[in-house]
Amino acid sequence: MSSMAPIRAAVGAVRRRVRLQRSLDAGALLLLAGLGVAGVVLAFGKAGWLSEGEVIRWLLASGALPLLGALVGALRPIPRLVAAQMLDRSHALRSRVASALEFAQLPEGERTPFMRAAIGDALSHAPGLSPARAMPLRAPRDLVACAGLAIGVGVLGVFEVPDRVRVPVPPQLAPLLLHQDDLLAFRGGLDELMNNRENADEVREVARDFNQLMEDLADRRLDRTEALRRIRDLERRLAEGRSADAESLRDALRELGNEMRRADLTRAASDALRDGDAGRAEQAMRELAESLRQEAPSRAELDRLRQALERAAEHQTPDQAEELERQRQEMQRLLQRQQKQQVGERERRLLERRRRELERLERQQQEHEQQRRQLERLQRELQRAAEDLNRNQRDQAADSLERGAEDLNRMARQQLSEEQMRQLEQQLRQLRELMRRQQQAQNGQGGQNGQGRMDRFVLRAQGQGDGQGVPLRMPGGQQGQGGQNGQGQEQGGPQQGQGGQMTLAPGQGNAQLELPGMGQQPGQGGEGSDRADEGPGIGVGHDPTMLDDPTSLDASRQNTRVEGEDGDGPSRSEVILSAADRGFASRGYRNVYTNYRDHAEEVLETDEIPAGYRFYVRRYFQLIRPREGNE
Amino acid sequence: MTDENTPAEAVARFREHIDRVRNEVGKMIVGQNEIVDGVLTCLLASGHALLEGVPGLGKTMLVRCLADALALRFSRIQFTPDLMPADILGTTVIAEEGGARMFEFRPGPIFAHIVLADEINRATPKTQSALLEAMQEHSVTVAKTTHTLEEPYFVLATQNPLEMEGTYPLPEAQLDRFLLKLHVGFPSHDELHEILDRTTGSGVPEVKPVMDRETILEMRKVVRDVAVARHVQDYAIRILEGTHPDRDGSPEKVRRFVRYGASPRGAQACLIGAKVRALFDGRFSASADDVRAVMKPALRHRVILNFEGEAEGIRTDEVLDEIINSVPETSG
Repeated sequence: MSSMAPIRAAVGAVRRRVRLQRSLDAGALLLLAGLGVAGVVLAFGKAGWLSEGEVIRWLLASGALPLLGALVGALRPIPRLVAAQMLDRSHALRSRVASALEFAQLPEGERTPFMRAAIGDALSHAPGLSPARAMPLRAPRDLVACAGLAIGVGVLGVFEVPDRVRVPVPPQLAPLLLHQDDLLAFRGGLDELMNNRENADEVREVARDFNQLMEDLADRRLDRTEALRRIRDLERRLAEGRSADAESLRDALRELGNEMRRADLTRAASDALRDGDAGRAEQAMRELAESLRQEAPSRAELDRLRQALERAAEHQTPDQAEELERQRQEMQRLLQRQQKQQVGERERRLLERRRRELERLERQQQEHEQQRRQLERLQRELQRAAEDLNRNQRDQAADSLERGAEDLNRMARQQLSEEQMRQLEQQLRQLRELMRRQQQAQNGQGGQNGQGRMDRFVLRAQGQGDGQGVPLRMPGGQQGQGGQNGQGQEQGGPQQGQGGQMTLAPGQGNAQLELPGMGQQPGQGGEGSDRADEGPGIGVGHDPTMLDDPTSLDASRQNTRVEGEDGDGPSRSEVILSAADRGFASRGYRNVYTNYRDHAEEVLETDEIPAGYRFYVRRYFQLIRPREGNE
Repeated sequence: MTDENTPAEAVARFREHIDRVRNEVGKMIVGQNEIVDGVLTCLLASGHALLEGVPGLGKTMLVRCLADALALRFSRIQFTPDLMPADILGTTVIAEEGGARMFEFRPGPIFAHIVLADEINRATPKTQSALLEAMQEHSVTVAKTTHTLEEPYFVLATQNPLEMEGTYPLPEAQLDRFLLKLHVGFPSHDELHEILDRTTGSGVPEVKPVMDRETILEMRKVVRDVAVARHVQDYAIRILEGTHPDRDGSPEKVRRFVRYGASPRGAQACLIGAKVRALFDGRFSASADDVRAVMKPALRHRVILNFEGEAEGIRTDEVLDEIINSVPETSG
């Protein structure tokens, strides 16, 4: 029906506008989704989780989304009736257009006059129909969100992610914790070694580094591995610095002293030389020179002195140079032969050891040569002094003895350095052993518990604390019993050490220190006990932390029966009175401690004591050492 | 009329008559345009109207004015509880004529063109049901004799929603006979001024008949000729379906508060009412707007609320409003 054309055109225009609007809306909606996908893809690409090709593919897919949405929106069917109703509503036509369209679709014969009139009525309104009024185009709803998201994606696109640099995470330092008292004990002797300018530079330098090591430990800047490494370095330096042939010098001096002991005037120097003490020999030699200058000895004494000096000067020290040279050449030959062979790991270690041995032999050879020259110089001075005495020139002889004393002085200083290095080595060994024991204790027991016990012990060793303390037990021992010998506590008796512990009572009060591994000693009877039988002497059990064999069970012992008196023993007042008669302690603790410690050291050096036990003895003396305010 | 006149002329004449009636009624009735149009819609759609409102709002006056303007036979029946069916239908009496005595039917007040059943809910159901045949069949059967009522036959019933004591609410079957149920609202402030001016002065306006019986019948034919597009009719049907709680897509309020939805007479009322309103507007086809305009008067007395709806005080108009809002003009 051609007359319906204006209405159809208007309806068609409305439909197109509706499609366009739907297309824009759907496109904007899917553009929003596409931008979201693009943002995620870009982020993944920047993070390196997607390859460049994958990013491009995803971006293309996300770019196609709005086009797809627009296409779907444009192709969605729009019923004519809907468009006609939009025209009716927007123009207040009361369904004229929609009804006319429906009536127009009916066959001509089925239309009633009112239908035709309705169509005509609608057509009369057709010129005024405005599709734009019926379907005003507007910006898509999601346009603002799209713009915002597009800006965000753009910013993300231009954002350059800096290359990821893997920052190395420093290994977690587990600082080695030593008790403050131990630190003080180790550092106590180092000050003198560092600051005394008369000490050898090598000794001062090693002492300074040792002190630095202790400071680092105190500041908790070192872990166990690093501390052990530095201890090993220090020990290596000490080993390199120490004379490899110190004992041969001592032997030579000893033989020299034997030759000089026939004269009374050289008796003091002879004794010192026989002890291998160059320092004391130097002093005796100076005193001899001074006595020669001051007063004239008898002729006979002078003759004996001259003869003694001559014998000392003529004494031929067995030369070990050839033996050393032979060993060095043998070692060098082995080394060269091994270097030519294909070596494995085991052979390489052997090669390294032999190389170090060769270096040691070479160093020993040099030192031996130097000692030989020193001894020859001393013997020359003694020979010169003997000749001067033969010419009755006492002053010249005294001068020669002075020069000999100078030679001895150099040897003494060398000996002192040797001794100091030996002490440093011993302290380093103790420190390492302490760390090892501490590690074992921490593995076996609670480290905090041991630390607390150490704190309480230190307090008691300094004369503080409550005096009621719980017995301190050093780690590593088995449960056992031992004799108690506390001051004022007159208990004891024939108790047998049954385990790996021995309880001692340092200081005052009831505080007790239990050292592991010492329980084999029999308990000692205290005063007032009526029986004081000696125990069997052998305990049972063994400290598992001990590296050495337990004490042999066939140790000799002898049971001694001591008759005691029945009764309650002396009363408290009698004990006090007895103590008053004998007098209270009058010697300083430092003196007593020094004597005991020196004696213990001497025994440790001479007796055959397992190395593990030596640690406990030294540790014990270290813990009970005099401290400031506890002299 | 439609045979000789074009639709445009018929519609023009229709509007002319309607405007005349409105003007005459407007002489006495102030405002209440919707009620006047509703009553005219019922008249022209061959239906009956039920007016509900509090006393004194001019319901009776409106009907009297309309009857005066239409030049039709008018009778008023004041329904009371003791009113009997014979009182309104008529009765047979013995009459002498020529010496012969014979039964003669004396028609009641129901035999008129416009019947005002005032306060219809005050009569007993027995009496109320006497109206059923008259309203539906436009005939009255008395003593096995059926008497046809003259067209146009138009019943206007009123009822007071407040004074419910001693009343007999109309049963659903009888309510369904009414095309529209019109709520007579309270006049506005200005309308009250106008009412007082007109009724308290010395001059009483006189309503003149402006439309005769034949014209009304002709207009009724025009109404039937108005075209209705399928989508408009579909809209009326979907609205009707929306009143049924068991139908898919029914609004929440319907499913919750409605016991029975409207009968198909509701859709008929909607559509015929829409046609009349299209003619009032000078259009040749009814629109969805016309359907919406008559939907509430046509359906409010046909939707039965359930107990929960009654207990919650839900008004039927609220349910219908939700239906209007939820049913789109175009299906799919």
